[in-house]
Amino acid sequence: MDSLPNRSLTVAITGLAASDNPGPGVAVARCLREARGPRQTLVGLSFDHRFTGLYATGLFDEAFLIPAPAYGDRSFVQALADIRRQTAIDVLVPALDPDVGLCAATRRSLAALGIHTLVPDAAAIRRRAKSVLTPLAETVGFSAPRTVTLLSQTAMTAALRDFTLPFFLKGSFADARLVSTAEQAHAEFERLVGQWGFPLLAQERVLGDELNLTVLFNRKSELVGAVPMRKLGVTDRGKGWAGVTVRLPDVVERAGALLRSIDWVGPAEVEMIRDPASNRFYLIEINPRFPAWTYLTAAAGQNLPWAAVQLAMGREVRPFREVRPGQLFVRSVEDAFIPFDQVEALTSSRHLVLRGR
Amino acid sequence: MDPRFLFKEDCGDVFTLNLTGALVHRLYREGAVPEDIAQRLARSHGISPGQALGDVLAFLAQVRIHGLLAES
Repeated sequence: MDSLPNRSLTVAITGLAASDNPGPGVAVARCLREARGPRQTLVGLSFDHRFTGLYATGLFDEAFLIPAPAYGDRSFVQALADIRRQTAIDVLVPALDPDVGLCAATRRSLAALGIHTLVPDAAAIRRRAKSVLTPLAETVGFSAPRTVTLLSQTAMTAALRDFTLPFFLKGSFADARLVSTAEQAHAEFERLVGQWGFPLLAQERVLGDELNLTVLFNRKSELVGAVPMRKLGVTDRGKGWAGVTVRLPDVVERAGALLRSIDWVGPAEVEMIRDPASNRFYLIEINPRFPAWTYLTAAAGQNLPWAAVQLAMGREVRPFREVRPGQLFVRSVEDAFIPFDQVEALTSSRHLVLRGR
Repeated sequence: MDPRFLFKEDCGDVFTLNLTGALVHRLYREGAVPEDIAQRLARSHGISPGQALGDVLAFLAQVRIHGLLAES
């Protein structure tokens, strides 16, 4: 429990890609800035200096480069220990799926460093994996698109026989492509295996309205907040570029029950499609982190990243009861200008002070 | 100016009203009965009260079907 609940906190955030497939980190930082203004220190963590969210104007006070997740637990903890000798990070908000896994695996080591997190344990993360989603969905009355696990080229060929084109091919960790021909399916199969390894998933396409929820659970696996959003515009990669908050208490209740049943802790995004004809909700994915549209939670009256930081520090947060429907988000692109020596400093010393820029 | 957009809170659908629809929707929500709204439209549009009443009732039925009468 935090003994000084009013002191200024230092919060580190990952997931800072800010391209047309943005990570959630910038949105998380915007929420925290909105809640606390300059009375906090925000630290951007990235394994790639080209993740442009690091340089977003007026957002981060400092930036550090950390090892890529593939380097594993030990490198992750060592990097954070080194950083903490320079900057006393209080809370780490992992905003990429692999970072959430790393935080779950190293939670005790991080706590020993004085770094607080609010993440589910490894078992909960496994229990919402794409490959096991169908039975989970059915426990709360959601439907799920037919999904087959692919462990070989032979399975891919069988999927082409069993599924109607177009259908989705998905990496088990991330990445999804809609394939419309057998040739495209084989090409994407090779690409996805090369990038993510086995297994892959073949999943039927469900047509309807894309409805996503950002949810937050406390350490007792109690729902603290939930903001439903309907996508109104997507990029050619299917990434949300505009959306609007909606009021769906029944869906929130069911999604909450589902995540509570797997002892969820921390933020998550529940991706669904509603068939407007039957009003059935298809559960597509559960992401173990805030989504890139998280800034909308602040506009909807539930600043969930702020709440997550409070919970991570052991502070009490009363559950949000209301969501403000009809709040529209539209995403835009911003040019940022950075002296080249700052990029050089970040890549050579792995640390950049941005405060006041 | 009467609100021209109706937002459906449970799904995010947005409906656009023309000026007459917006007026009818506002008057009805303020408590006017369809007969009074029809009288007003008949005067302003130069049509018979019977025709106006038919149009008002048809419009309100559509709005009701979409679950939009209590929302703006």
